[in-house]
Amino acid sequence: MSKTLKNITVKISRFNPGIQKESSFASYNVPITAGMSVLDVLDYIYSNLDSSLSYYSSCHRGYDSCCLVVVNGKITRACTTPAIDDLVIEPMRNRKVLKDLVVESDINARLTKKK
Amino acid sequence: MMEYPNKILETDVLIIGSEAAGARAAIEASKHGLDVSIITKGRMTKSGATITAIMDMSIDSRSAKKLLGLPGDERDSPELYFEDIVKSGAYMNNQKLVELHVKEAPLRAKELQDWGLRWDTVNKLPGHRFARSCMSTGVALMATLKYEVLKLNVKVFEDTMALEFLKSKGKILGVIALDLGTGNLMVFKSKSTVLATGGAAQVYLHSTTAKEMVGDGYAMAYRAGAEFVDMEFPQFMPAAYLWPPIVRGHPASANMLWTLNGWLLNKYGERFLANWDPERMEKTTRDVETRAIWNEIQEGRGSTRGGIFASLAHLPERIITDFIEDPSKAHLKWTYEAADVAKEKVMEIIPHSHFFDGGLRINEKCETNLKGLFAAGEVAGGLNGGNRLSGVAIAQTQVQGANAGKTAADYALKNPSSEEIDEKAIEDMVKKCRSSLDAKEGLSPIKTRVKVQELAWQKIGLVRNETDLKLAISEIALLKKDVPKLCTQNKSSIYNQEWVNALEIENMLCVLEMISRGALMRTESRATHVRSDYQKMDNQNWLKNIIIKQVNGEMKLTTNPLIVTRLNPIA
Repeated sequence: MSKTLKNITVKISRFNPGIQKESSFASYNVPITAGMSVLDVLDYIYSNLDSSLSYYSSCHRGYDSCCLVVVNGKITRACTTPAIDDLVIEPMRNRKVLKDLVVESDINARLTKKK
Repeated sequence: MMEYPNKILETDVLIIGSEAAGARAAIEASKHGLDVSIITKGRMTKSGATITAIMDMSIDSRSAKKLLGLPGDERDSPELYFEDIVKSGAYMNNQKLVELHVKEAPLRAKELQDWGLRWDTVNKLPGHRFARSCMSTGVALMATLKYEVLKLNVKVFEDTMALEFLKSKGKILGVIALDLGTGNLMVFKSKSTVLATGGAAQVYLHSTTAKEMVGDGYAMAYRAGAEFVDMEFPQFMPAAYLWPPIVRGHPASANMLWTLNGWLLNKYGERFLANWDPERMEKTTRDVETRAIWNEIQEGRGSTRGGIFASLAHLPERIITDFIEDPSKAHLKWTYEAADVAKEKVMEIIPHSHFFDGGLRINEKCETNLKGLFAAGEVAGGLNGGNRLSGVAIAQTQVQGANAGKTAADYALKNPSSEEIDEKAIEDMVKKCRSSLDAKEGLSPIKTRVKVQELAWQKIGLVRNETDLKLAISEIALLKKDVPKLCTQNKSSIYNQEWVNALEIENMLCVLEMISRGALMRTESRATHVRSDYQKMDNQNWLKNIIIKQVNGEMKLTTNPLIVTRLNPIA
């Protein structure tokens, strides 16, 4: 079917509010094929390596920006960003991190601000 | 362990689903001075179908000109728009719903314009006799609606998955829901409830829609005793990308194939539409195109990855790059670049599940057969009959959203709730919903979910037959027995996607059972419902709707005469 191109190292910022005080990085070894996105990599990890990973995704089409994350230091949509080499994935900046890569939503951030 | 219920919230009107239909319903209901709450499994403007719409809202072309100031055509009328919808639906449509739709869609489009939405132009799209598709984007539509919703102080509960309706004496009293951020159970007590959860295209392996759209709303309503219509008519988009993975499920490939007169080729390089429609070839109707592609794949002439090739190799590169650089298609450009279409001159495609024509049976006021429950948008059946026309879905969200919001508000004002909530139902729900999380060992929800989607694709897909449908029904029965055996590896109750997947499986199976049983009963081919063992349309026996409802724990199917106001199918 799809030939593995190579294996990449994916470092992901993990945070579980019930257990941790601060986030820490977990490292995964992921076989990638040509034409995969960062979201495909996250889906691969979730489905095959570690189902405790939390991240947001919905449309997979670059429309809703719900999958915004920081990839190798840059803010980007996970679903439209190609996965070519090793990755460091962190949650969106300036938002409260709820778990791993999931951050507070626009509406809740707005309510928190009001208070 | 979780205590229950962690939270009881009371509201006048509860809306399940936050996107176009739900948001519009919320706006209407809050105009009546009522307390309105929305709950959504995702996040507002960041989930569901609306934001993925390219987006066209169809109204008659005359109104597009007169009301919206777009370059419409005065020869068109609501009556002609009505006829096109009913013909596309192969006469399965509830014509009372269509009458209301063509009358009110222009008003809703104007209202959106007044709220600040900009209509770019009006286009003529396939199936419409005139230019009726008012163009904007789903993202812009949702930004407009969200602004109105928040202005009206509607409460929006995001990351909140509805699990089950609360019911007493045939009346809906609210829902039990799961707060996905904490894993706590919540009870929403309401005077009236609007279901606006969209369709369930994700029950299939290949789908163009957002991943959460598996039909939770359908399944909840089914379990509560709601009636369904036309469930045998899911709609497929013939040519969305199969490869590469980054663009999988994106329909931009279909856009290019259609506009640039691309060729569909099998793995031998044969232009197989010559066997189906030698005159029109790839410009044939959508149903023939879909059937032809499915046939090539089934007979082993598809690509190694299981798709079909959409070739542009007969074109100079300049024509392809000109299309890709077109500023009006800027939002699709990244897909053509990711698939390297300019260089490869070929795209790998497969039909994708796209929309549900059927759904909860409603009347013009969006009332269901259950007291206190109203439905709007894709989750509601009847408007589109057997096959939806382009641009009707968005218009449907606005027309039905407004009507459901109004009817739900009227109901809430007339029927202040007094019934006590059944504590036992809540207690049972706590156990049921936590079973996969509390289990020590069992089946993987992730693997089981894919198994369900594969079954749907293979046996209940685009072309059906009696043998496969019967097999599917018995496999669904077996899979239902697997639901209590599901066990998540991840035991956290905070944003646990595996737990959500486990909860979705029962709902997906419920939707697939409705499609299979409806498709088995309808012994003909009509609109999007294709049977290889009954290839002809049978107007003698099948000018009727199939109604599905749970009776004494069993799925019961009956037929009902068509609802005709103006366009007689025999004429």
